[in-house]
Amino acid sequence: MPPRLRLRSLAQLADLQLQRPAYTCGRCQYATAVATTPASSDTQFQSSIPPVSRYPAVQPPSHRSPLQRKSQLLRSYVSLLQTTPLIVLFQHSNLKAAEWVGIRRELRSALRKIDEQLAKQGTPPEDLIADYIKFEVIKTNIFEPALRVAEYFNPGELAPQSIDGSDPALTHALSEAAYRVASEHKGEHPLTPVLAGAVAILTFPAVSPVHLKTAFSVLSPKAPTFPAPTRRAAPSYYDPPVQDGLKKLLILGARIDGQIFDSEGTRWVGSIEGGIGGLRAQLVALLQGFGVGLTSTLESASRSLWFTMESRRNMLEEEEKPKDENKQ
Amino acid sequence: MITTYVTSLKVAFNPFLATSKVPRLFLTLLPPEAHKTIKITTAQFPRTSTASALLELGFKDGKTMKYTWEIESSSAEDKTTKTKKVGLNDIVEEVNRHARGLARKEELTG
Repeated sequence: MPPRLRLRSLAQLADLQLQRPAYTCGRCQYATAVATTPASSDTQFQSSIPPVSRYPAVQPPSHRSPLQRKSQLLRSYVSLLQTTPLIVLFQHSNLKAAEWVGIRRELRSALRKIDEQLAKQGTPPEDLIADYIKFEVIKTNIFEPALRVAEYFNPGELAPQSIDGSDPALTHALSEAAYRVASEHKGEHPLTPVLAGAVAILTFPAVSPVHLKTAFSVLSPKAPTFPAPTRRAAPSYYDPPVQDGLKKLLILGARIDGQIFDSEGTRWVGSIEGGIGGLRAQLVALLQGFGVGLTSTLESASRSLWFTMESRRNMLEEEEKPKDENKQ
Repeated sequence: MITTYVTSLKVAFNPFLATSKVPRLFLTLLPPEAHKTIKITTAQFPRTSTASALLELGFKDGKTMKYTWEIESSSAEDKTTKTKKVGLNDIVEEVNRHARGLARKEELTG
């Protein structure tokens, strides 16, 4: 049996709603008839209505389907890029699971040792970041668009016409506006060629050269500045799986506070002694040396002038003396 | 890819250029135990360098294969020369062909 529903088109329904007279009860019929207020115009009526959101607040509509795994991966990468100031990129070529496990274990133990040292020196607990330093493999074909969204998409800067078609309130990483901005900058980011093939990232929640140095001395030791842990301090570091795995890791570059560094530049950041404080000390020393040089340069002109004047005065005095002698 | 007859591999690239793609992908194609039998040397150019990427393979019989990728200077030159760039598959094919030949030779002699 067909449903006993009278099907009406939307237009018919709208007509019905318009035609329906406003309900007034029998008693107040008289009063309402007397007190007629001027009907507000259509535009006034519409402008007073607050915009109704057509979606639940926790499920905004998105350009990419939120049900897909890769959309969620993109979201997580964007938030990672927005919150992580220091990311080091590595190439990994066919590491085995045992090698990954070994390398991560050595990295964690070395970083924890550094944290213990720092804690003894009285470093505040928020600077002890060893447990939050992660070394993970990424999907480059998702990470690259995520990088573009994180770098170029700034919801505050959107031009009004660019958000014409879509809801201006939608500024999340999966929104259409974000997609449009990111696709405008396709292939522009300097890290795009780096993000090809097998890439792993080492993420630091804060720019800390001490931790970076420790990580480098484990992951790619280089004798003078980044010495590998000694056999006595870390015997498990010399296990065959760890050593085999390290041979297959390659530093490609880093993104530090939004700036791109190559492998040498990254090593330089890691070699800064004493972190920000050390860098400030270096700057002060440089400026002091510069100041000394400057004062001596500025002084030299006046000093030479003084010498000239002094020698001239001596000359004059000597000339006057014989005259005096002659008079006497 | 048959890597049993490869003895040495020399790679040099600037990872911030698109030319580094093939040499880097070639490194990932090697089997996990490759560094025990093959002498792999990797060099990275600084970010500003425009040197061409290099991939050099050495085989047991002494044959060497050398590939370089230069930066594309302009589109006008490409039209005149029209040379196809060496891709990853081309190299893999070449390595496999040579390895098969060597295997056949070994089979016949020993």
